[in-house]
Amino acid sequence: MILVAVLVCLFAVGMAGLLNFFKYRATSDRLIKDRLVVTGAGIENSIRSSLALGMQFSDLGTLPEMLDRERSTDLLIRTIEVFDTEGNSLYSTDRLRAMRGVPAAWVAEAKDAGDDQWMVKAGANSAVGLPIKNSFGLVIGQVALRFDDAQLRESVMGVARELALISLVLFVVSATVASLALMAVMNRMSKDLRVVEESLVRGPGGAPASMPAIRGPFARPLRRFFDTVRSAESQIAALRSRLGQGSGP
Amino acid sequence: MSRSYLRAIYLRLAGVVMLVIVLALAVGAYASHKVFEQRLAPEMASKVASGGASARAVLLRAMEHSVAFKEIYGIEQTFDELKTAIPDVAYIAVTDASGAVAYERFTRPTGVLEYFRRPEVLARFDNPPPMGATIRVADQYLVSLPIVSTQQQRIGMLHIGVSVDFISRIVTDMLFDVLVVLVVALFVTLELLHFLAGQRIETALQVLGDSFERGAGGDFRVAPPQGSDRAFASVVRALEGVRERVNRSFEALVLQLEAVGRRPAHERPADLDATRAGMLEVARRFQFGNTTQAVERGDEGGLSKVRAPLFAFILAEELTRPFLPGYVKDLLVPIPWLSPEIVVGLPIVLFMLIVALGQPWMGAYSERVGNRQAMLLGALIAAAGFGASAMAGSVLDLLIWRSLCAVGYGLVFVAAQAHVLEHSDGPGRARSFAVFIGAIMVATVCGPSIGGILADNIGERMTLAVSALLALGSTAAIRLMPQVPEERAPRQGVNMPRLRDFGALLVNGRFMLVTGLAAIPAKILLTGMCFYLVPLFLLSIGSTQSVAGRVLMTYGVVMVLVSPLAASLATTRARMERLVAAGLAVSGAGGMMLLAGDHVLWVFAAVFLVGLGQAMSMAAQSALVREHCEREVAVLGEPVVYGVYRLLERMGNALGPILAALLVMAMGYRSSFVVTGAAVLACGVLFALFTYLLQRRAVSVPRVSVRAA
Repeated sequence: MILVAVLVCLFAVGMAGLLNFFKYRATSDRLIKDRLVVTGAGIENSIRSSLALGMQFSDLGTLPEMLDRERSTDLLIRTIEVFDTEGNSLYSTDRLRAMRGVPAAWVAEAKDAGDDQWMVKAGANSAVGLPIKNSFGLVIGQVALRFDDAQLRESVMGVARELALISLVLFVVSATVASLALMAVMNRMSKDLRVVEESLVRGPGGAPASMPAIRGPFARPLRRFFDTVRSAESQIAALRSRLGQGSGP
Repeated sequence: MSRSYLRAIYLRLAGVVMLVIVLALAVGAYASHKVFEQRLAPEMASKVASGGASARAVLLRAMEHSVAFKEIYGIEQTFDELKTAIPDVAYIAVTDASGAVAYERFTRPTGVLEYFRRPEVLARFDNPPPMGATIRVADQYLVSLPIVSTQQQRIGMLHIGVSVDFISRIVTDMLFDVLVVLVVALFVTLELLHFLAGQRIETALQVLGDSFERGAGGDFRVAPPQGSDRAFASVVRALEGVRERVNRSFEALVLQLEAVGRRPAHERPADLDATRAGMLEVARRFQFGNTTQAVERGDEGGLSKVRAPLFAFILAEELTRPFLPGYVKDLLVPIPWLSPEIVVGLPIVLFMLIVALGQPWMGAYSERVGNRQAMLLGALIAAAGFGASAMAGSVLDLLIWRSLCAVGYGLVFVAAQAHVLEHSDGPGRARSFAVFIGAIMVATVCGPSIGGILADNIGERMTLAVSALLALGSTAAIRLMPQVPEERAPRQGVNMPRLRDFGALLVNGRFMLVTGLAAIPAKILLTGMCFYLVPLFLLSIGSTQSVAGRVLMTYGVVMVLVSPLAASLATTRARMERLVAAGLAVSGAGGMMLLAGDHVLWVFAAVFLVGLGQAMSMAAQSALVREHCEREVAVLGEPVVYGVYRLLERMGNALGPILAALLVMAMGYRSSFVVTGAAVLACGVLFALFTYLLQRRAVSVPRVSVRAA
């Protein structure tokens, strides 16, 4: 019984703990993404406005200053990069990085995302990106906001430790309580049976006075058993008594 | 007495465990709410601050163009845009340098006007708070951003509020998943109870009940002594002691009568004959003497030991139901002569075909090496298949790995079925099969729901790895099954259906009435709709695999609850026919539910009705084969007739995804649901019609025969 309690509590509390952790992680990722997308959307808007005025995508003079300004509004953002559909970096807040080109994972994720925002989690090269569309609605490039997810991972692991501790405590307490409760139920069953055994040992002769005291699932079968035993014994006793009375010289 | 008492014990034990778990989960939800609040509120505040920075920039730009602070018209539009970008925003206000409100939008929290004027708030001009700092005011978290011009002039402050409910919403979102965990925990509890203690307690209760019944029925014969290591042994001994005492008492009476009868006539009592008659009357009413039949009953040869490994193994396969079509879709590679929709269905089709066609050979193999060995091998093969599926590179190698899973599944299924057949006799066979079917049904309830949750959270590949572990874990329970005893008599060979048997049955109207109009459509509906359409459609409307798992779980729950009731009603041929026809109609109507809409709830209703209809018809359908084909069973033998029936039924399993894929190609998901449902409904109507005509023909034939005689 203890094994049943332990296994079931382990499953239930463990699964709930895992669900909590996954939910936290998904929510945290979503908040980070939304936070960076708000900044990125402003940049994308600005680029689109410039393109609508007829400027070339690769020749937006005011963009670098804007990128620097936006980068300074949020400590989470390491660099902001604008690149074309082939992954060639066109603008970047980090001039050295601009020469290296963007990570292949960003380009692949952007391609998979199509018209949607995207997110890549890859250590120091983690990024959230938005597509840049021209006036015909075609994707001509991406704006990517790079961040280092080390701090986020640290935060997530911190939450994981807290949730794990909560789950461990809950498991120990619930498994103990459930085990005790199961043993109490089994003891109750043993008590029912002990009462039956005592009644049987007392025998049907003493039973009538105490029969109402026998409750539970065995009362009815025990009553029927005793009724039959009493009936048989009384008939046998009557016949033996008749033989005893009638015999004699 | 024993069965109802045992059920009461199980329910009490399970109820106690469930109560503790509910309390534990409630405490866990409260604690995690606190953790989320502590950790997520700053992150939400940072997100809001990012958006607020843009709104602040608009204000500053307006003022740079010499617009007065309190005369910036159209600022509400900026606030609306911010709300659109961040829907969690519940309140926006701009205050001047003294904390008086200049602009505000949406729902003002209680006490916020006083908050704006607090010295610590106004001090933020000099000490701007870090990003992510937030204060709770009434039912909102407020983020405050100082508005300072480029000349460092204090202009005002932008305050953005987010309702505290966003944390509660996150916790509530998980409510459905937690409910699923509770339901699964309940079933797992019952299975564990049955596995670890159930058979022992059940046998002991049966012995106890037998002893009570014998005594209550007047059977005082002395039985051979039993083992003292059983549960309730002392109670049984006490019962036997009382019966033995009555038996001895009667023996003494008999001996006394004989002794008195041997006396000279003048010494005998006058009423000796009456006494003797009385003794005979007692002997007639009650039973005395000795019996060789032991009170105890065996534990049915380890029948219960097959349930746990079967449950664990089937659970491994059922975990994959909600996400397999989606997983296949992610692994799609272009195959020139096959459409993507059909390729997505291929792994399911191949699986069903292998299980259907491989059964005769798997059965023969299990017969040769023993059920335990066959189950062990099957579980290992399936575990390898699941593990390899988790690492599949494309749909092409996934087909190979899923074929391995199918071989393993077929072996385990056939061997488990054979084990049940070997360890049960005629009267108890139905109950034994209930054990077998019960394990499968419970796995059908638990598997999809947990599989969907796992797939959403740890990914499909990891979930397949979990399936592999489960299949491996089932081998530990399989090892507890009894080994093949050396002195076991070889089973009578099973007659395999021959081609001409197939042919004869395929053209037999009565056989095809049940098989073609009921069994095959039911399986097409199950695999085509539930296994193929439901997961893919739910993903296409933006739902998650957890939702797909919950929807599929409904099918299992309905089957578990309704099947026993329907089976108890299927007592006559007429009832069976009505149940099958009604079941087909209900399940067909289920498919047509999507005429009403494409919301998840309609899919839920559809699967519920499919489960209800199939639960109504399943038991009756199988029994109807014998009712309709008495002549064929007499000529060909029951194993042959049922062998052909099962094979054709399983071909329906394989056809389902293909037909569903073709429908999707032609008309899209919703219409595919409706057409499949309508076809099954039509089959139900035709079944009812033809059975009615069959009955009329059967009624009219004897009249003709009587007239001829």
